[in-house]
Amino acid sequence: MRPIKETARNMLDRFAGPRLAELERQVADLQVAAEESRRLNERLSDVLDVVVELLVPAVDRDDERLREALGRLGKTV
Amino acid sequence: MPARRSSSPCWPPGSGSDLTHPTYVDDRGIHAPGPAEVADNEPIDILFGGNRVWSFTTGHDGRAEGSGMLVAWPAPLKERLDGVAQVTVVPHNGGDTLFVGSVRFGSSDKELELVDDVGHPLSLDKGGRLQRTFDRMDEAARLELVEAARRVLDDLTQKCGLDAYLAYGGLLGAVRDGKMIGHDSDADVAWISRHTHPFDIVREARAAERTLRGLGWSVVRMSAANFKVWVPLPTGKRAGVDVFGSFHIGDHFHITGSLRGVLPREAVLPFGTVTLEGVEFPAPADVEAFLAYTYGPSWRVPDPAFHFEHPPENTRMMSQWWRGTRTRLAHWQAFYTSGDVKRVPSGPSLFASWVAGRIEPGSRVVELGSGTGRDAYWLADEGFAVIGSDYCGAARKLARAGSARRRKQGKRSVQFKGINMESQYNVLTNGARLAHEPGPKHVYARLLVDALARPARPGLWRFCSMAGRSGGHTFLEFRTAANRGRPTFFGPHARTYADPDEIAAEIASYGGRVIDRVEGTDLAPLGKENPVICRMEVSWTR
Repeated sequence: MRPIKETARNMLDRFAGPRLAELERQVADLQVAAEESRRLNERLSDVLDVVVELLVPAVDRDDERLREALGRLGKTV
Repeated sequence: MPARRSSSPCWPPGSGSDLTHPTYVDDRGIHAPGPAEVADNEPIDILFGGNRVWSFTTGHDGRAEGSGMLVAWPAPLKERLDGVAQVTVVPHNGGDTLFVGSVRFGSSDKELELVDDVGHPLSLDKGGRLQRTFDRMDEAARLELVEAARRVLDDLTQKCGLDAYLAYGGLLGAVRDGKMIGHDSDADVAWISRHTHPFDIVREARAAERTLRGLGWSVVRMSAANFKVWVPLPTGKRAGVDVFGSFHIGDHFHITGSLRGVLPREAVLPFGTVTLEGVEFPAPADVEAFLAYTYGPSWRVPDPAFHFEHPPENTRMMSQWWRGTRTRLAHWQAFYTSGDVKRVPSGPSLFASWVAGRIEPGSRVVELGSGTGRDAYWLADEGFAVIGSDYCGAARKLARAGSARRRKQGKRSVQFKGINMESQYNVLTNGARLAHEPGPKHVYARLLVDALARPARPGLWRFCSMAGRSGGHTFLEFRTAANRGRPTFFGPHARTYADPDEIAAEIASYGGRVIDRVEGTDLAPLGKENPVICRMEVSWTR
């Protein structure tokens, strides 16, 4: 029995092994991409907050409101 | 010698007669008889002088030791164990007392008192913190907290336009007997989002934070989809009401922290009502289904040792959506509140004097990741205008306390700010403010590259490049990839061992230029640890 099992395993490794390794690599790549994509929501929201809070006083050249908005935004860690 | 109970206990409950020694308690923990295989999930209470201080299960908290089991003291409790206490070990839901006796912990002969700064007895809550739990509060104090939660919930509903309801322990207590759960320490509310995309949910949470701040509430962001509202109490203390986002994304219902499962929207909306400590709250439409979703099918059985055991993939997914600015924060919070922090040297590092010799006397220095503040204090003593910063609140608290002590001694105090390289807006706003101020500002970051997870590094380079526009340099010291797998002074730490060439390339891509680079050992030895270190001086001007 043992030689048959070993032969079967060898055949599996030979023919399916490279394909499995390729699939594992693809899954790992997709996990990295999914993680990055999930993190983007918060990062994009951060940038949007800064733009929304600072753009109007910047266009108005309202230094006082600009400083106030910077101070307010910078408080949240 | 610890006291032992004279009669034979039955431990764990249901384990029968295969006991090798009776239960006893000492500095290490609770020693239980019987093989580890009989560990179970029956909650057991530990009482000091009649007051419950902790609950555990042998299945979750015990480990095999010899022929029995050891349930080790959790760190926050262990640090307070010095003195003599009358200890009782008893099953929470009834049964024979397993141990009772006087135990001396540590070396003190004084009575062991687990109390807060005003004498309120403390116990370990479900989050592993020593808190004043509800079983230690009188009715008036419990009512204060519940009414505070109701005020927050009203503003979430009426001013923020959210569908808010009572959740977690408060809901469980209301449904069980209309009272707060004895071993809980806070009242939690949640809102169910109308949105189904993470980006919209982040925007919704931030809008609510802004509205509440505008109403005068003190709001602390805990993640992109939950926050804490600090409510002043008539007693002069303050209570934290946690506000959790809940939402359907895809086929799943989620509640922050990390709950993820199947629960139809109809089980939540339209709201019914429950009463907690006599105060009415909106509650999910099908509270039984909701509590089964939250706590599992045995939610009706009281369990002070309850722990959420989220599947790792759920926690990972929720962390990636909502906690991208808090990577490794739990680790650093635990470190800066543990006894390990006493092993951090109080004097300056060798790096501090390396940097001090390279910058103009009296120049401005911003330290990122200042930890206990040891280098910031020394640089201030050397005459530099120093601002310290750390994203870890426990580190800032320690550093600020140190600064206050210095002020009393007539030394220069140092300001410590919350600057977080993982938060884009925190980097952009603090970087912009710093860039706006006149004159060169140097950035000092010792062992920060090690501490940051890799995705946080772009924020670091962005901040340094903004600060360096007016001529200030960035000074980095970090352990190199050569240290991977080598033993460290503080044991296992969350660290990123970086390749200096890779760091130099990243800096170049943000417009920086490494003008000096030193690599080797003997630059930052600590105890038996003598890591391979890289130091860099970086200029951001062309």
